[in-house]
Amino acid sequence: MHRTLRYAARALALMLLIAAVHAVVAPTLPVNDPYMSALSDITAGAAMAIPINCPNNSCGGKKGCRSDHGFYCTLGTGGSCATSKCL
Amino acid sequence: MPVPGCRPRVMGWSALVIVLSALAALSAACARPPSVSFEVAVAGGEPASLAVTMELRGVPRDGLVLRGFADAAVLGIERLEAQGPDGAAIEATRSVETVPINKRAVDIPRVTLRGPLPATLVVRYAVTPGKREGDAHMGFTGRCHGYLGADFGFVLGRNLFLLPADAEALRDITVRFALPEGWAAATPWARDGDRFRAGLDGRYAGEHLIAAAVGLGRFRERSLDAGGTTVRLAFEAGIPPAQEEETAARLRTVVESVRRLFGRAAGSEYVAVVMPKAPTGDDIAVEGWATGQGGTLAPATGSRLTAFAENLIEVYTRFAPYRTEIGRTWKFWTVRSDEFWLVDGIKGLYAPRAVAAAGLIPADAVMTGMAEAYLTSLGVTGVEDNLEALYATPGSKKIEREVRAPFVLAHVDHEVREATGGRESLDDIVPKLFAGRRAPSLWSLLPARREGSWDEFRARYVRGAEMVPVGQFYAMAPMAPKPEPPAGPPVKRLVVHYTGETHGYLENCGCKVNQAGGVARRATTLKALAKTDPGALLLDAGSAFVMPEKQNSLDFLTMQEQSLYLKTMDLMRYQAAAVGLSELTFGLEYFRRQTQGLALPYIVANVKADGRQIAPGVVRLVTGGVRVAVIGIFEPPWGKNAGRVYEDHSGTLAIEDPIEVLKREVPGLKRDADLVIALGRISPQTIRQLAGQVPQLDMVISGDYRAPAEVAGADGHVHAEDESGFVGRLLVAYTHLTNYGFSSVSIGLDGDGRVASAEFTDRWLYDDTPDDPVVRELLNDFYDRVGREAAARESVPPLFADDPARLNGVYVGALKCAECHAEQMAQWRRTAHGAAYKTLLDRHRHFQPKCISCHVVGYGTPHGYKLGSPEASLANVQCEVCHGPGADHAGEPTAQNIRKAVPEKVCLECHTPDHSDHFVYAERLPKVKHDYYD
Repeated sequence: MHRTLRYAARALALMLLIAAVHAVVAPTLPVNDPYMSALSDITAGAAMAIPINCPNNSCGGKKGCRSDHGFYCTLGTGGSCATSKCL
Repeated sequence: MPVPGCRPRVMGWSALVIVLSALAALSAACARPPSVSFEVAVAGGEPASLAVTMELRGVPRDGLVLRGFADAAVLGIERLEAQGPDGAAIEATRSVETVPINKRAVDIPRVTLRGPLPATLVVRYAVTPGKREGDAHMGFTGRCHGYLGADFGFVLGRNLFLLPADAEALRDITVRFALPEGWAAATPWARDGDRFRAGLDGRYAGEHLIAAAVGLGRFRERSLDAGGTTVRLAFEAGIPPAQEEETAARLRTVVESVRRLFGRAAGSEYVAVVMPKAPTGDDIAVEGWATGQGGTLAPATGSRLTAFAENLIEVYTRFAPYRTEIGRTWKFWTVRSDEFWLVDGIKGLYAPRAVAAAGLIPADAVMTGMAEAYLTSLGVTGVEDNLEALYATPGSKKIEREVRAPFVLAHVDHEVREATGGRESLDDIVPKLFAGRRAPSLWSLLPARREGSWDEFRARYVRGAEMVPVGQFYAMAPMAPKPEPPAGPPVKRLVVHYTGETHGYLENCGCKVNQAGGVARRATTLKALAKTDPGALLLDAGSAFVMPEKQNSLDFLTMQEQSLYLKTMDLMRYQAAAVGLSELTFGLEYFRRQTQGLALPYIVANVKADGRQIAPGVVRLVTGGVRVAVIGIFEPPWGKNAGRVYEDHSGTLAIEDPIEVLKREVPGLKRDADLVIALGRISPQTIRQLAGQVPQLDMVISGDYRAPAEVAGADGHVHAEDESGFVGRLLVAYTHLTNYGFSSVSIGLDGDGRVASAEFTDRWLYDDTPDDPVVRELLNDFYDRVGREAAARESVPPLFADDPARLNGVYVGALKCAECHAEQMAQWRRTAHGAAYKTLLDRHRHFQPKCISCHVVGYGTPHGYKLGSPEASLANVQCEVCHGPGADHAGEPTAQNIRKAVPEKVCLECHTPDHSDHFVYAERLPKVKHDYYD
């Protein structure tokens, strides 16, 4: 019985040690990284059927919108112009 | 010698470790993931589908979830069934897992098999490849997801296979194909008897399966060595041999370029499955992974080659297992993420460079294009300036990854060259960075400069404290307000009105904040100007044709609108128009058909088809005693800017270098003309070269003004657009108002006929400019007439293309709803939705199918609003647009047969950025909810 307890204590100690080492050594991952597996990356171009609905224009010239891929442009009544990125 | 007494203790620890290891091994063995073997057969039917039989062994008894790895619209699971080894049916439930991706909800297919399950079972399903991207209402983008037809097929693993939910753990996956006689499968997997085996050395099996590009059909193969990696190019056999040769040569150049860059092998074999376009006219979407890529790659146009190069670069930078991981060094027990941006930077910088090496982008255009895009990105709201924080927060970060990171890295390259006097460049550093599994820090590899100067560089440009000094290094010199050397005093005056890049814009629809532009207003202003300057010239620099972003073919209605637009140009008495990008985008036949019978002469001197010019090159005009020769010039766009539809239609055109043509033609023109004007799409870089190389050219009017250029008199301030002015003695006018107005230039000519001065005027056509009555009548007649033509009505498909209930349901109208929901009806009447039809009446667009569909209920469906219907019960944006067809609910009102909630995607059918400025669902929804009173 005593020996069993001793083994159990050792096992617990070993596991705690492993957990502690892992906690110290294992790096804290950032929120994202560029190394997403193909299994996780549903944003891959060939995975989504719905195109980005984007007028593809941005503020251009002295005023007005001009063609520009990936953006959309909105003009205010006072001549102000804002370029936003399409989702 | 062992010490007595100590031995038992040592034995105790050892035994414990052994026992624990054995337990761990046993536990791993018990939790072994299932092994999966697929059989993929081409099934008949129209459209053809692929029948997938999936045999799973080692299935957990308590249940199994299978999941897909693509949008359910792409991976549509049909004819699903599951059986045990004895043939007994197992209940398989199909569902979707909705995941938010870049602020959109994407449905991923799932199949649930509830336990108790046998250890071995078979799941069968069918998939129909070829989902076209886009929809009938918004237009198709020209891409499709796979294809299967009589001659060939192509599918990506993610668009075909389901896998157990814990797919990362799978080790044993095989695939066998049952294909028509004579067909073979071109795959990136290893052969294993009559099967293919996914995975590399027993790892990455799931990823290898899902990211695979698989060609089905007949293939011709050729291979090349890329520094120890054999690159196999599998060409679909229907690709014409000459096209195959050209494509292979370009792919080879890109492969060699990438190999030189990284200087090492990436695995033993890489398979590129080279497909033609699908017979639908769509490009088959390309995806790549560590062992290959595939999709429509022939003919190898600039955009396709760029995608190929990007995928190839990612073998070294992103995909397991051959990548070098950047930034994954430990520092104080955390992963350093501050150099992750290099993964995007390398791809964005070197892919276009590889395409330039293949001759599809001029080398200097790569840097200019990147600098211009960088400048534009500086004005975009919500962009993360700090590249080192790029991966610290979620989100797609498209602009940061595709524009900022490559350009900042290009500037690193510039600085390295500066620091070493041109002896070294970033090209010498990349192989050191990517030599092993872990990359050293970029900053540790850069050549020495002044102490701390790379730290300063990082703080300024990488962390975004300052913008990269585009003006100093990458921008063109500003235009001058006067010619240099100066001409004599002006003795004559010539006025030129000019337009360009108008894209067939008839008039604004009234939906957007910016109400400028339109042909009726333009005609009014031109008529007024003709009274003061009757001799003024009126020219168009090209791209007066409609060029929808998301359509690879034009519908009947759009073609009718195009004809009308050209008719209005005739009415305004344009004297010449250059053939531009949009004129050529939908093919020469279409251009010829549209311009047949026009008084307006279309000109271009440097574009030939079958050895003949596609249009006259020159128009000669005389006004106020001044003889003017106008020569049309077209400089093609490059790389990603070219656009797939243009690339497809321009393959047969021979486009001569604009500078060479002008050098050859202008001296002859100058003999009979006082002034020679080059009109068309001519880039700011080319214009600067023209100033030196074609001294007899007097003026350029161009629709291409996109390039980083310093602003005159603004002390280094730089714009993403060049401004009108003088380069030396050459007068340059850009058509930067596009469809919002037009510009005029009053040119002073000296006694020798040289351009002495220029005064530019921009003429914005806001709603204080009245419509010209003749053009107005023409437009109104068109709107009234066009809606009565069946082909025009059919050009505009109904909304909610993917919602059968809305497409087929019976609409009852708001009055019926009001019988029970009078309060809601009263509130609705006060909203813009309640007056949506009136806005069309006010603008005479109630017969214009393109407008009507978003202003009524169920347009284009069997039970929806009909154009010109005297019964107005379905006019306006009524209850059933948001809540769905209400006949069932009206017959038997229950909460189950009407949709109370209105999700964002319902609103986005009409509230697109094109038609609804700054539509934010969360902000706008409360204003149409029935408890809102303004």
